[in-house]
Amino acid sequence: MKKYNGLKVFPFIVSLLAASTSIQAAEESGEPIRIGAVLAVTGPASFLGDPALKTLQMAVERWNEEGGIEGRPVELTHYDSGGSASDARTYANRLLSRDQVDVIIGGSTTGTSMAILPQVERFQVPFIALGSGVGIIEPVRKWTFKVPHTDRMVAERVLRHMQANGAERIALMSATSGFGQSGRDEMRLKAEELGMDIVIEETFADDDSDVTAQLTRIRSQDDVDALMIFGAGRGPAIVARNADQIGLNLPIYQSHGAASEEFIRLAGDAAEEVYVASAAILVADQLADDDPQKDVLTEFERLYRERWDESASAFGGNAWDATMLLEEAVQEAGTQSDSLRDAIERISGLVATNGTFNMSPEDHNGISFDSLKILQVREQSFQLVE
Amino acid sequence: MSASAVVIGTETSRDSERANEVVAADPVLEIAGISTFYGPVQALDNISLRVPEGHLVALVGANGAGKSTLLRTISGLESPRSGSIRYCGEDITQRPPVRRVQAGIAQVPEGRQVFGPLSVEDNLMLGAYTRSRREPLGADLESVYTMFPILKEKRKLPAGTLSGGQQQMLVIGRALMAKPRLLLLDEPSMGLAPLLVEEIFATINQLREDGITVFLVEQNASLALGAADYGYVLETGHVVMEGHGQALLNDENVQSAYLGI
Amino acid sequence: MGEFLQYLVTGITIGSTFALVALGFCLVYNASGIINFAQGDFVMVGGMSAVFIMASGVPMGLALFLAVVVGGLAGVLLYKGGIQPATNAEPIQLIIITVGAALFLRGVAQVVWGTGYFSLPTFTGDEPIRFLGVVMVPQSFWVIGVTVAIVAALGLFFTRTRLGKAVLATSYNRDAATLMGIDTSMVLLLSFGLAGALGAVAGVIVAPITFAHYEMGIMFGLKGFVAAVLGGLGSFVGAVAGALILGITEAMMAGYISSDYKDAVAFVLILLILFFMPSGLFGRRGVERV
Ligand SMILES: Nc1ncnc2c1ncn2[C@@H]1O[C@H](COP(=O)(O)OP(=O)(O)O)[C@@H](O)[C@H]1O
Ligand SMILES: [Mg+2]
Repeated sequence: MKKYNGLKVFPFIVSLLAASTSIQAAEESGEPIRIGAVLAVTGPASFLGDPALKTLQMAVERWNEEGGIEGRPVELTHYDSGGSASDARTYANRLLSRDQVDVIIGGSTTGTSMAILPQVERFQVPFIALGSGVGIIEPVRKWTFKVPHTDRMVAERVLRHMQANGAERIALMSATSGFGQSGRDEMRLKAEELGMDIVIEETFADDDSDVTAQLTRIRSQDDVDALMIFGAGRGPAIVARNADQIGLNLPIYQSHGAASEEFIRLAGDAAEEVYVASAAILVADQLADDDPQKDVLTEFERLYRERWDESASAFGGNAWDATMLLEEAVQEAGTQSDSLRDAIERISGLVATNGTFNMSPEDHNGISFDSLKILQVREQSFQLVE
Repeated sequence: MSASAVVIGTETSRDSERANEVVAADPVLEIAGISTFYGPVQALDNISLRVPEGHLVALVGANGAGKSTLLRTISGLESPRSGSIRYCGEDITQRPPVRRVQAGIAQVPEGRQVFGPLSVEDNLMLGAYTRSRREPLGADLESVYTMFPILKEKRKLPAGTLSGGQQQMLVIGRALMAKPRLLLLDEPSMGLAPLLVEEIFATINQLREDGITVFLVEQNASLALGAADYGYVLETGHVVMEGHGQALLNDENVQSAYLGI
Repeated sequence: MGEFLQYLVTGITIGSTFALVALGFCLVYNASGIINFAQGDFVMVGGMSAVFIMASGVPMGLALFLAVVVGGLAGVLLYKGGIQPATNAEPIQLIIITVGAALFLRGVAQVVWGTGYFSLPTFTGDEPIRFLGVVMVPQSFWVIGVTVAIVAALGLFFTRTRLGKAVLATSYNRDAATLMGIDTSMVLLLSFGLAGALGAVAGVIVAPITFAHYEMGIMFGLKGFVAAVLGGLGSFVGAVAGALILGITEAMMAGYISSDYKDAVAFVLILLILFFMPSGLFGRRGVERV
């Protein structure tokens, strides 16, 4: 805990004793567990931050109804980053220095996660990131963990599916956002590893209202086998609709940024036959009954719907997994920051909505690429393909 | 009360006759104790004057004396802090400017404020803005064109392209399109060549002959007082002298202060 | 050739929506001398209102009309609630009030309608029309057609009607207009209302293409502002020309060079204009500013 940092001027053993006794005291007196959150609840990434905040609120309510974690009440302090990296940095600092939180969950986007990361490393408080960029956990940083599948896994998953279906020459259309840029880099990297060709690359801005020009370029390029769209929010739906309108005759793949019912709702008929890489949550009911994830997913979906009267998304699922990781680690080790961190790193076999988490000192993401699913939109709903 | 104005020109019998006539006529405009401020700056201090029906009254004063402020206060562009303005017997001190125009007070503002990008004819038609939609305006337009034939020639051109003299004709014509009962003129001679000034003043005389009540504000004291039935002299917000136009012109003080004689 | 036409059509469609926003900027700027930073958010108000009025079961045509009315009301409210009470404020203070109004509108929209994206059905079907290798969706015709109709109607209003000329007179010289008996605060109210309605029209016609979102006004406000400045802030012809130039240049940039640079177009154009033609393409010359 940060408030004991001052004791480091004493010999190591003294400080350790002092810290552990006061922690003991705190826990006995029911000192609350303080969770700090910095989420993009407004702004262009609000589709990520909004369900995440709702999920965290729901989790905290449930813990407190059940008497807290290990008898200690849970407190949530939340700041809205609006998707801005500099705001995220400011708020992370406030959580760490003023609000004295035990853990930070947040950074809805890759950019905001990357902005929070140096702060937690400096203050030595565990951070469970909800951004997807692989850069958040590579290289591994001591205090930073991350829930969602990386965009590298998404790239690999999509490219392998393309390859298996005979597509080798790829058109890539990525958003100019941090999400899109990181996705584009991972696509390049993985395409090279798999011996595939990205023959044309185009970009679009998150608030573009028409991308016909870019798609016309792709259409006029011969011998393209498939189109990958790497973007999040409304952009992927606009691209899908424009592609449909100009009669672009290619299999279309979308990243996990399009893995929500909203994509189908916005793109309408243009969503038909589009492939989407996604966590299993969108097709929970289609999982085999003996799939270990099925129970977790069904439970989360039910709770979320009961609490918020809307269907759960993968983005809410990420936050849910963060609370599962936290709960398990706190139960095992309490909230003293070093032990909490170590406990998160030791988590193994934890079945959550994204897959089964097996954290290790080398892997602060802990889920494998095959827990990511390929879905296809058929008759306006997601179908599990692979 | 600040020092009341010196009244000049009651000595000669002819002058006193004229002056009495002016005083006797029903006032179209009657101003009593007006003080107007710009923020903390006082521009008018306790001004009282009257403009009788069918006459030409002039107010002369140096640059910065408060002439424009007085006209703006009469039109309602500025609100006085105290005092009252009566027009045709009614107190209009609190009336919004639009209703003063509707009641027949037209002002030709200083500096030839034409609507530059609009055509000459559009400018004239805007002068008739408060008149009823159904009223035919063709005849009035023609009479302005008769008064200023050059405007007819240039009626399709943007007003901003006219020369200074032509713009002055345009703003006078524009004000006349309102069929005003009281015409307020703010320094119509300003910045014009002597020949043009003469032409403009000839027009003003003609208007008075036609029975329009005119309140003329000028720096050019000799011209204005020469044309006026009655005159006032304004100095830094105070009326310091008043009297029959010609009598004021002959006054030594006025001559030394405003005519450089 | 087919590609060129495709880029052109795309550019004209996008440019048309910018034009409606740019015209709104001009209306308010001319009438009051201020730049209304809430102009883009009128687009949002129109788009979102249309979505939710329709969702409540109102037939489409009526819903679209009501959404435009809501936009107009937003403009009127901005004037009545923000601009008029600050009679003696400096332009910069008024501009800050509009920034506040923009944030307020966004905040209200977020609370009332949430942060999601919403689609509106296209007015007349989705079947794309193909000719000369160009693909055009029916909604593009609506966007371009409505814009042309509105530009024509505004043109008639300003050149043929007394009220239109009174608005212009007010914009050229407010005191002189008052002396004509023009109720200039009514003209201001009308300008804000019209600007709100224009923005809402843009929102209503693009919502089927771009989806409505509580923050959709940011991009439209920015692009509309750039278009208005390109055209010489205050010139209506200039605003439309600026918007088309911006839309077409962006599409050509995305098509022929790279979509990476598309968003730089607006800024490069603004810099070029400020550098070489400070009063804009159709800016009023000094002579006319009497
Ligand atoms: N808008 C204004 N704000 C502040 N002071 C003003 C303003 N207009 C005029 N004044 C001041 O009021 C006084 C009278 O000005 P004005 O009526 O224009 O004089 P005139 O028309 O006789 O030249 C001057 O001292 C002038 O500086
Ligand atoms: Mg003056």
